[in-house]
Amino acid sequence: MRYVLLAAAVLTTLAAALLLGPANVPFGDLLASPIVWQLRLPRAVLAFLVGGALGVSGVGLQALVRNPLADPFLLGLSGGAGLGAVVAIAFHLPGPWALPLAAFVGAVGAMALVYRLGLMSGAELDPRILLLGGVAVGAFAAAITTALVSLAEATELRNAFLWLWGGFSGASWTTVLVILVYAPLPLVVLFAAARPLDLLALGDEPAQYLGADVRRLKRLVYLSASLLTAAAVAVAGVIGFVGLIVPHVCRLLWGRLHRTLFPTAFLAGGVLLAAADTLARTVVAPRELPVGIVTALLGVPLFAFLLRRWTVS
Amino acid sequence: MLLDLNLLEQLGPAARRLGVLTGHSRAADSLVHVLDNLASQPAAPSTRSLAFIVWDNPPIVIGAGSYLDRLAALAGARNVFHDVGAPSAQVSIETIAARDPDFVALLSDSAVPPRYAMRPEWRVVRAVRNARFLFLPGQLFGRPGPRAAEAIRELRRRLEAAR
Repeated sequence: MRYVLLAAAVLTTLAAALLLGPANVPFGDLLASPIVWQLRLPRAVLAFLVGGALGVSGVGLQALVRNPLADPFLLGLSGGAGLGAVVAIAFHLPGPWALPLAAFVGAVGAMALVYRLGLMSGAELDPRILLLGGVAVGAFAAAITTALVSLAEATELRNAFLWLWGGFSGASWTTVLVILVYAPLPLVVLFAAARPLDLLALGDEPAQYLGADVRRLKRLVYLSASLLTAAAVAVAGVIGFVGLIVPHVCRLLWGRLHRTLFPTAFLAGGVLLAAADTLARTVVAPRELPVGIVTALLGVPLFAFLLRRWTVS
Repeated sequence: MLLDLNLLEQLGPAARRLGVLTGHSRAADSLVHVLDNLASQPAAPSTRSLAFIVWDNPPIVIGAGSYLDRLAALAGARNVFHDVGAPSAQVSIETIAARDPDFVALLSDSAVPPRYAMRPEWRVVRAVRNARFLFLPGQLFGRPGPRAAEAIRELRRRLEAAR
């Protein structure tokens, strides 16, 4: 029944994303309208794919660091991506791809730095080192970002911050193609790691005894989840809460087995972000909200509810 | 001293204040007279519509809180985002397409179409697809100033030329 509801949520969300918008497109013209084909459909598909990627990335990282508070952006990726984006804006890097590419490079750079910290002195991606390293790298990147922003012009500063809050204004079939090129490999790697990640939940040593190659598993999961997040940032900016909330909701509804968690987190993440984007572009029309604000507004009460459930249980 | 100027109506009082502070009140008064007259003029009948697009991702447009909105009205053009009270606001490309402006106005010193004009999602906007751009030099249009009347005349001339 829960799977049927999830499938219904996917269909309803995508239908709402196609039907709702500031332009009045008659139902009979939906299939022929450029508004639908060039704007709403790629935007809905991109939001769904990015949400799915962040959901799966969140499941992978929470399993890796065995910490339910882990978020794809807690490991320094948002700081790195933000720094990359601000560098592109402040230095007027040319071309439509300069900003997403710079954000991707920034996220991957932060990921590499945290990864290196996680391997220092034989730490072997110890969850505590990864989290602390992520916080440190994120804070360092944020400091440089703030310094650049304080030196930039006011308009550039605002545009940089709007981009950092995330959104799908730049959605097109090209950006859909970008995420379709980047996402499948890390997704396949993570889905294939479902069974070993179940073992890792028991701890490093028990997982090792039960046949998991823990060292290789951690590296693969960390790199895949990070690349997935970096690809999402490159096409949509920094969108928080999806990677934090979706794994919790899915564990609550479908249990802790990663074989089930990964696909459900992909679909639930897609639903959450596609719905958030539809709200972002319709609730304050003609204006539009950055989608990261909507996910935060939806995510915080949900997270408070989940915290209350844990406390009670 | 810092003067925060966003609207045409703020130019006269600002000029008066500067005149007092610099000891040139009489000269300032004549400028104040011109600027106040300009600010109190009724909007010219608008036959054309335009959208000021100042950033493409996310799309940022100019609203009624900016002097550019008033400048357009005095030049005989309707800002399609006049209902947005703020000086500028983030909107979606779909909203711009739905409002269907005759022209897209850009603050630009060159007449080179913006890069986003080639992107398929932006070509849904008729004015972008048909390259109906008004390139407004930053020196004249970038901020409200004593040359506001000249800016209005220049915008009117460009609108006529693009007819």
